[in-house]
Order: sequence, then structure tokens, then C-alpha cells
Amino acid sequence: MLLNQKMALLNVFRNYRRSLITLSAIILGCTALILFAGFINSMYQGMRENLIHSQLGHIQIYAKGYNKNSASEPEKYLLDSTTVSKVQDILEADADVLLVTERLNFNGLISNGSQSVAVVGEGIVPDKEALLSSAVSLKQGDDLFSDDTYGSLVGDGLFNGLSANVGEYLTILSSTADGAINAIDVQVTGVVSTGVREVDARFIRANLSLIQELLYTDKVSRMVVLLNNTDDTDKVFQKLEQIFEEHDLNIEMRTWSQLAGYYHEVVGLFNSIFQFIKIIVLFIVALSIANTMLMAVMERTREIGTIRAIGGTPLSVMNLLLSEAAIIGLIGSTLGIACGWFGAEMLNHSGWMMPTPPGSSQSYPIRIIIEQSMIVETFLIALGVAVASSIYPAFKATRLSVADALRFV
Amino acid sequence: MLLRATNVSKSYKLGENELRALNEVSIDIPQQSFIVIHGKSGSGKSTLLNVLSGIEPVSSGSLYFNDESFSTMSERKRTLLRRDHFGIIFQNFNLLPVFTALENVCYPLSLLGVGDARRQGMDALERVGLANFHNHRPAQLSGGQMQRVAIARAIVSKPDVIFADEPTANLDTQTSDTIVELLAELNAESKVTFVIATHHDDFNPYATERYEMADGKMKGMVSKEVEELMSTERIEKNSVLETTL
Ligand SMILES: Nc1ncnc2c1ncn2[C@@H]1O[C@H](COP(=O)(O)OP(=O)(O)OP(=O)(O)O)[C@@H](O)[C@H]1O
Ligand SMILES: [Mg+2]
Repeated sequence: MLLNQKMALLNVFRNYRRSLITLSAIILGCTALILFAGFINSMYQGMRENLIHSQLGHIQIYAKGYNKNSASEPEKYLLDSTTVSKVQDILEADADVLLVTERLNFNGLISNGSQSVAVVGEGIVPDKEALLSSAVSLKQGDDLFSDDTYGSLVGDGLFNGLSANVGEYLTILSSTADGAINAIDVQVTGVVSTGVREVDARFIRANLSLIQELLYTDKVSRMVVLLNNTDDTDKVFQKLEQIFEEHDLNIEMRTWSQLAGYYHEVVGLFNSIFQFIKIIVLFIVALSIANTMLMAVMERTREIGTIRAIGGTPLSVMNLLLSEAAIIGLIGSTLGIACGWFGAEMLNHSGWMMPTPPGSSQSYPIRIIIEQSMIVETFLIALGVAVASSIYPAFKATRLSVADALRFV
Repeated sequence: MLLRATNVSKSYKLGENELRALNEVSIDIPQQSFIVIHGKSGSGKSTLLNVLSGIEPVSSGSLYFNDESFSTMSERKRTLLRRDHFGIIFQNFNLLPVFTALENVCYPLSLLGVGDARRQGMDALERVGLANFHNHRPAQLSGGQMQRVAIARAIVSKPDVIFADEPTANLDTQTSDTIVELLAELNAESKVTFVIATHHDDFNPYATERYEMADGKMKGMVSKEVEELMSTERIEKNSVLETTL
């Protein structure tokens, strides 16, 4: 039936103006879908990397039971220094691991003498944390170093809330691991932003040793692991789980994904919006194709009658028209994807700034990240829609009375 | 009998009324015959050909091809019957405009699933004298050439019967004559049977049987034998006709 396919191809170019209209519908649809998919993909990636590089790391390690019980009695589920050094040795030997650092978290009050604000703070190892928290940007003052014994980094929301100045001393009040109240003085070394406004309003970081002094402990809450590559997270997680079990360590782990509930909510929301837009776009494309094919069938009534008269079955008429639709779909989706790709390149080089996303305090230049799976999916969907929307017109063509079709002028 | 119709009727619904395009028509078509069907416009010639070739279903009556009934066959089965055993030639040629002459001729073979049809297609084009035009599209051919391509398309699959509904009506007299001769030659050199509906008398010399239709009925038949018997009177008869007109 190669001649049928050849006829289909020739028919596409026969009324090229009409084919062009259909093609542009498919091209436009594909371009829109590719760009939108690439855009939300880059948004997801931005959110994800921002979370990983400001707070979560790729994998976090805690004392067993921490995640279940830390809300009520965090002081009971801390990692002691022997465990920390064992884990450290294991992780440092791993080629997938970029770095590992410890954090000690605390809740408390911060005061400038006249005003007190609740804080969620952490003691950190500044050199390592600086590498891990590359998404935490310094707004004012200087970065924190390990020899700044009383230094601290304060979230810009908190800083403004307290009307503090760089260099000023503030007092942190918290309860120690055994329930007593303790206070220390810290100096504001720098003002930072994590990119998340809620966090910045309550955020403070100081040297681990200072916070250990505040909480009267030598333990840490968690170890945060940064990998070379986000995509390796699950692989490394499984590998580490096995190694830790072999070493009989009483610890538990979480991946960034398990810790990023908000991220998953946003992804879910955007995905459903995307699905909705996709359906609308595809519906418009389908209508346009169906309309073209109906017109083509009308116009070629006598030809279809001829084919049927000289022995073409309804199936071969169907084959002819669906091949035509498939050819249009093939050309359209290929060009559409190419246009989407080109559009993405243009936008990525345009340097356009995106409006600040909700809950965020930074804006980014627009980025569209197209992945192979999107291209394949868009291609198949557009092709499928082109063929599917031609089924009804093609079916109508097969139902024509041959005698009437032959009389048709 | 190759093809037989017994008491075939065909009616069309026109609103409230029913129009009987064929009224109890019977006809026997032996192998290798050259059947010519005459009749005034609207007498039912095209309808008869459509019914005989299985293009249209009958309203009542029976049709047989090689003693097998096909009057009750499904649309699909009738299509396959046409594909496998019949060739069809139209008044307005009905070539597929996007195809070249050769592709038009090869198309029925591709419907039959013949892989490499080019050789056979070229043979058929050669037979109608258009081998040199195999790359021309219908729009680049004259009416007579188009009809010859259509004839090549009808003979290429070596059918048992070829139906031709006024194959010369859209052609000038001279071209028409060559088409008439071509069809007669094809009938003589191969076993293919022809059933031709026409207004013209050009086919008469080659007809094995001639039928006359009027108002959906078969009015009369003149077989070649009878005609030959009457051939001496023929000149007189014609001159009588001419004088009465
Ligand atoms: N699809 C149809 N619907 C209604 N009436 C029809 C249809 N097809 C044919 N007829 C009628 O049937 C009758 C026979 O028509 P047919 O086309 O067979 O005549 P014909 O002998 O071929 O005429 P002509 O020489 O003009 O081609 C006519 O009265 C015509 O109007
Ligand atoms: Mg007619």
C-alpha cells in the first residue's frame, strides 16, 4: 500500500495553504507546550536546588527517632561525637559526596534589650556551610568564619524586625539539653537571605561551638550531606543505608525530597495547571485538524468514490486519510518542537527577569530547561492528536455511498 | 453465465415518492461478450451498470457472478469483488489528480497487494499507446489520453468484466473513434467482457449484444447473430429511420 502513502503525502502538499493553517496550529501548540514544560521544569529545578543549597542538602543524617520525636524532645535525639566522626569517615571516602557538615538546631528568643523575637537558629561549621549554603546570599556585613567566636548571620527579615545594625550585640535565650535556661551574646556579623521570606524572618546562624555552649551539649542535631549531583540522591541514599547498617550505626536518614513537602505541593499544583493548559491547547489543535480533514474529504468526494469503485476498501480510504493526518502531524510536531527549542534558546539568552515567585525574596532571570522526555512526549502527543482528530472525518469518508460520491461534482 | 441479473429493481426515495430507476430488469452476460446498452437520458443505463458492478446495492432481484449470488453481499464483499474481478471506466475519466499516469495505472494493483507493479503498469500503458506519457499527470493529458490511461487502469489487473459508462461522451468524434476501437481490440485479444452504456452508435459494429432501455425497463435485445441475419435489411432500416427523423 505504498501508493496510498504516496498519495497521502502528495495530498498534503496539494492544498498547501490549508495544510499550512493546520501545520501552524500544531506548531503553535507544540511550541507552547514545550516552552511551558521547559519553564516549569526550570522553576522546579530552581526551587529544588535553592532548597538543597540553602537548607536541606541532599541527604540528612540524624540519630534514630529524631524525625518522629524532635518536635517534643529534640534534646534526646542528638548525634554524639563518636557517631559523627564515624559517619564522617564513611562519607569522606565516598566519591559521590561533595561535603558533609554538622548542624545543631535550636529554638529560642533573640533580644536587643528592648525587643524580643522568636528565632529558629542553628549552629554551623562556617567553612563547610559556606560551600553547602551557596544559595544563602549575603546582603550586608561580612560572612561568618570559624574564628568569629561570637559572630552570627541574621536573616534579613529578622534583622529589619529588630532594627539591628551590623556589629551590634544581641542576646539569645534558649533552654539547654537538660532543661535549664541559658543565654549567650552574639554579634551581628552579616545579614543574609535564604530566598524564602518566612525563613528569613526567624533565621540566625552562629558557630557550632557557640550554640553547643548555649545548649550545654557536645552533640549535634544532624549531619547534612551535599552530593556532586542531585540526580544521584536516591542511589547514594541506598548505598549509605547499607553501609550504615553494616557499621551498626544507630542513625536514620532523609533525602531532600522527603524533607521538601512544600516543594512537592508546588510541583503538584503546577503539574495540574499544566495538564489543564495542555488539554485546552490540544483540544484547539484537534479541532483545527478535524476541520481541515473534513474539508479535504468534502473536496475529494469524487476521488474517494473512484478509489472505492475500483476496489479500494473502506479501510484503505481510512488508511489514506489517516496517513495524511500522520504526515501533517509528523511535520507539525517536528517543526513545533524545533520552534520550541529555538524559542527556549532565545528566552534563555534574553536575560529577562522573572517576577519574584510567591514566598520568595529573590527574582531570577527566565530560564527554560528542555529535557529529552518532554520532546518525546510532546512529539508523540501531537502526532497522536493529529491522527485521532482525523478519525471521525476519515470514518465519514468511508461511509460515503460510492455511487453518490461518483456523481458528486 | 459470467454475469447474470434476474428481475433486478432499484428504487430511490425522493421525499415521499419512490423513483424506480430499474424495474425488473434481467440480463445474461456471457464471457467475452461486448454488451452495448442504449437508452435515452434517464432511462436507467448508469443505474444498471452500477448495480451490475456492485457499486450500488439492489432493491430487489438477484445478481450472479460465475453463478455466485452477490446481490445480498455486504458493501465490503462487493468492494472486494470489484477489486478482484471488475474494471471500471468512467465518462469523466476519474483519474487521481495527484498521481502520474503510471501511478494511476498501478493503483489497482497496489490495492491488490502486488508489490512491484511498475512492470505491469508500463505494459498496460504501452497497450493503450501511452508509455511515453507515464510521468504525466492527468492535468497534463488530453481528454482522449486521460481516457486511455483510465482504460489501462481498468485492464491492468486483468479483470473478467470491464464496465464503461459512456466512455466516449466527453470526447470529440475522432478521439471517440480511437477509444471505441481500443475497447473492441481489447475485447477481441483477451477474454475480457465489456458492458458499455452509451448514447452513441459507434460501438454497434462490435457489439455481440445490444440492449435498449426505457423508463428503467429492458425494452429489447439484438444479438449479433440476429443482426447479421438482418444485415441486408439494415441499410434499408437505417435509411427509413433517417427519413422519419
Ligand atoms: N441517487 C439517485 N437518487 C435519486 N434518483 C436517482 C439517483 N440516481 C439515479 N436516479 C434517477 O434514476 C433514473 C435513471 O438514472 P440513470 O443515471 O441510470 O440514467 P441514464 O440512463 O444513465 O441517463 P444518462 O444517459 O443521462 O446518463 C433517473 O430518473 C435518475 O434521475
Ligand atoms: Mg448515465
